[in-house]
Amino acid sequence: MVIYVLLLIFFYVLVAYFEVPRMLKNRMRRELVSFIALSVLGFALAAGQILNLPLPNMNKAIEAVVRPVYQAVESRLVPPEYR
Amino acid sequence: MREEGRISAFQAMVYQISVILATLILFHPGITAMQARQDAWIAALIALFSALLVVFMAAKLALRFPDESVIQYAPRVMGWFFGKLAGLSYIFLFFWLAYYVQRQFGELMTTAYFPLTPNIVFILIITLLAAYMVYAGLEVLCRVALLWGIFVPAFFLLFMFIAKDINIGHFLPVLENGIGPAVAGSLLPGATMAEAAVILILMPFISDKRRAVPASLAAVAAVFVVFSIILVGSVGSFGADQTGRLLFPGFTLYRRLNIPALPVLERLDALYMAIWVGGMLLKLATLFYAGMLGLGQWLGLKSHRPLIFPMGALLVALSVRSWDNVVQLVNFTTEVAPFVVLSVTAVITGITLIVAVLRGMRGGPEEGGGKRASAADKKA
Repeated sequence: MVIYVLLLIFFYVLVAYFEVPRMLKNRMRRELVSFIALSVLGFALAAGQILNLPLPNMNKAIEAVVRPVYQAVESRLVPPEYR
Repeated sequence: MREEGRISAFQAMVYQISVILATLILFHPGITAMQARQDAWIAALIALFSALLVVFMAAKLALRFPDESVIQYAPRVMGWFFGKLAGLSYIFLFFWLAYYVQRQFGELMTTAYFPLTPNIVFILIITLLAAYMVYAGLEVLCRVALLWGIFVPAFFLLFMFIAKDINIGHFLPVLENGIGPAVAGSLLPGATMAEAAVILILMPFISDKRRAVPASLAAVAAVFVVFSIILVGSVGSFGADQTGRLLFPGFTLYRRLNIPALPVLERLDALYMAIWVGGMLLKLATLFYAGMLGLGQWLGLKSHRPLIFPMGALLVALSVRSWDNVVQLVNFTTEVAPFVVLSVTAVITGITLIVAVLRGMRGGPEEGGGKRASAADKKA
């Protein structure tokens, strides 16, 4: 497990090694801030999954909103013997 | 934002086809057959017309503001807050579809071809390839899509060898339970075909803008033809019940295919896999590109390239996290996906178009630039 986290850190270091100097040279501050934000978010999610931490699942929230809509539509349109 | 190059309307059409095609021929024929039964072909027709309507709306909106993407003009049309929110929902849709595609790819590869290899391996490989393609830019992406697109018609022509197995009895009785099941079955393919609304992002890069509207409608019609070939072929030769139970009907259909005159060509599903894997890679790359371009414009960046690899890693993490297994994925595809896609491509596009029409807003060099120039002349 630790080896996977190390690999993940290695990946982000590799990407930063190629991307960050170019951004610093061209004075792209907004890009740098969003780069760091995306990297932190991605690292947190991936490392959390490797270490089996309880993370929020965005898709579950979408499902909770949408599924009642689907059920309402289905009960209108599809006769019971088709389900 | 750096100039991304120019593409023709035909290339935009190929881009739109590759956004739609690869997933439309995966789970979708089975799900449509499950919901609409023997009326699946009617469901496909309803899906075609609803998708044409949505895409026509999107293309008209894009043509009102030919030199900007929806992310850029939405804040002007609907006010800063709601415009930014609408832009974010488009970006969310593209990234959401992208990680959904990654997961579908991993699931088919592990279910049908490599049962012992973990899912994440395929997701990583396809994401690295797609990230490379997105890095290369729009023109490269469109040319690769065209290269893939050349093979697709030939590949689907092979389905005519299925025609001898089709039993018309499987399509009877027509509309046994009214139009309802067919409408329910049309939701998912209709929503998937409506993904051609990606024209909202592509429009500023198209060189012959007038032809963009017919080109987008042609893209929807082309994927409809492919989809209905697989749908009619599998319902006609297996029957609606069995097609509804199959996870990947197109794949099963292709495995059955044999050419009597050429008995050497057996197990043609390898060919299906070759085309489908390429299509899936292109689908991921095109959605990823649209999302990245939108994100760059939404945040007001000079270049979106530095964000490609972190975003790719985030998408991989999300795709692994979001579903537990393939059954959940199929249920999600049936019940949730069409509404999420339609709520952005149809509802938000519709609202933006209505507001733009009511306020009489137009972009582009002819109107906006012309007026500004004439005002400057008067002052002088």
